[in-house]
Amino acid sequence: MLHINVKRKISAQFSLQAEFTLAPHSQFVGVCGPSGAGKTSLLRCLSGVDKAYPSPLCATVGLVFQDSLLFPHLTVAENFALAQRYAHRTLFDLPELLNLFAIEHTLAMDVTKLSGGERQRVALVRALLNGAEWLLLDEPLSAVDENRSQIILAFLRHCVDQQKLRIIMVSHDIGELLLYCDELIELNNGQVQPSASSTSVVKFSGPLQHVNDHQISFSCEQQSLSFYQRVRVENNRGVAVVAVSQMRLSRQRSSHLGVINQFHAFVSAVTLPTQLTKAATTAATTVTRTQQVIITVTQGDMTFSVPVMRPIWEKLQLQVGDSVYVCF
Amino acid sequence: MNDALTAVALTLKLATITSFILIIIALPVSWWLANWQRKAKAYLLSLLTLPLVLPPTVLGFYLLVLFSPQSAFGGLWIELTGQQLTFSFVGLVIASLIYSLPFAIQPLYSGFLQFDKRYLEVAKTMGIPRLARLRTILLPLMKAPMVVAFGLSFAHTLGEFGVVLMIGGNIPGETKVISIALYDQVEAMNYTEAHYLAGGLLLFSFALLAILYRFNGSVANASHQR
Repeated sequence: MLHINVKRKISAQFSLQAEFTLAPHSQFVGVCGPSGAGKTSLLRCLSGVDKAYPSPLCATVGLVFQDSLLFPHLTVAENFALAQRYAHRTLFDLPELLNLFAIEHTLAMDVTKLSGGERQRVALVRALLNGAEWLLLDEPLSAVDENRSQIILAFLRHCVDQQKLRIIMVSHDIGELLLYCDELIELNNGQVQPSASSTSVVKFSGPLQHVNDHQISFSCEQQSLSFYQRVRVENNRGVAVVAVSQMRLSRQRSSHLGVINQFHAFVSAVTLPTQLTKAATTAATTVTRTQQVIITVTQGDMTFSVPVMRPIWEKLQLQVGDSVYVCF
Repeated sequence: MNDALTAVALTLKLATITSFILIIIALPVSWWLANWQRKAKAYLLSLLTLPLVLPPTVLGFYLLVLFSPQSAFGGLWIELTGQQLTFSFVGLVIASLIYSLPFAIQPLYSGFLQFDKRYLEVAKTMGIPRLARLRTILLPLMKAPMVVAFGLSFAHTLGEFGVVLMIGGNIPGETKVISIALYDQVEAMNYTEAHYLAGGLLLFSFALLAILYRFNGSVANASHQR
């Protein structure tokens, strides 16, 4: 168990007061929250870069900023050489990383000539070569394309599973965090939210059924689900995340729908726009949002809420207790 | 002509020594200034910038008083070195250091203000020791402001006149720099020699500034591409 209590006044208006406990199995921790919630400040405090605030992690720590901060007077190869020269441990072969991160072509380049995505990948490789026990990553893949970032995240997960390192990663992409992280910490206004459960994505998992190069199938609540992306295998179980915005509801199972999965569930609640409480209608609420009906569905241990447009809900005539197919 | 060449050599020697010492002094001072936030900072900055606006003769007068063997500082200097500071090359160097200080501080100060300190933080987490961080990260990234600071100090020291006149006088090979030699030639109505000195200094200063601006421009362009 690792108990962490970060208290620090960042500015006159903002102070960070984040307290949380990491279980021994939490080797890959995700941090999410709105802009200005204190995510970057938390990473800085954990990293110990501030002389006045030593790292509470009690270990060697590598820090990767979103804007990469490659040393601009050095080439990519020289940046790597510096990281290797002062490395805490040697964990990786450079050629292996270059291939995986697709940055062989950048080696001789001036870092100022790299694209944003290349810069982020180089910064990650530099941190990996440096071999710290903890890697603190601040939106490390925000400019990297989806395919490559899935490959990189799967690799980071693999490194964590092999107990080579532990990771704390800030990301705006909750699906990404839910899929790869052991634990999710949600920050708001400098404090850890007690129930860090995201409503915008749903995590499915279950015993593995079938795996090939493109597709992973597993069983969840006695139903077989197949995924092509945002899916991974962990201890013979499949894990996948789906954004609720990508889900559609149907009253019947149909072979005519252009979807891969039709997950059977029952309606457990219907929230009409007029019923939206004051708390739900925050300043961020938009006109389209108020026209949505929130359908909460349940199957076995799983419960999640799918927003549908009001006209569609009127057409479907869904009521509590009705059988429904969630298509995605 | 021999007199003029001696003056040129002396001036270059003075400017070179002054600029080197100034960089060494101004680097830590500017770093400290850029990272220091107190109300007194405005007064300190004013004090350091004073030579920029003050008539050189005012500065020269106070230095003359300070350097004179009758003053505490001047007396101590004579006791320690056996030589007096007024009308000596060493006195000129000290005066030039003060006179050109703002020209060394200003580029370094704004360079440090613009410097993203997170580079040093990353280097620290990478396990790079303190001195190595200075050598491999900070100084190379400050190269452009350092070149500008050196060039401006050098150019400004070349054009020194009032201060030298007050505390250095007119000793060939010791304190007679180009600007003083020029004054002498004009007083003696030697306009040919005066033209050589004045034109030479003009061209040299122009070339130096042009190189600095070219250099600064290419650095600015490079950082724009980032």
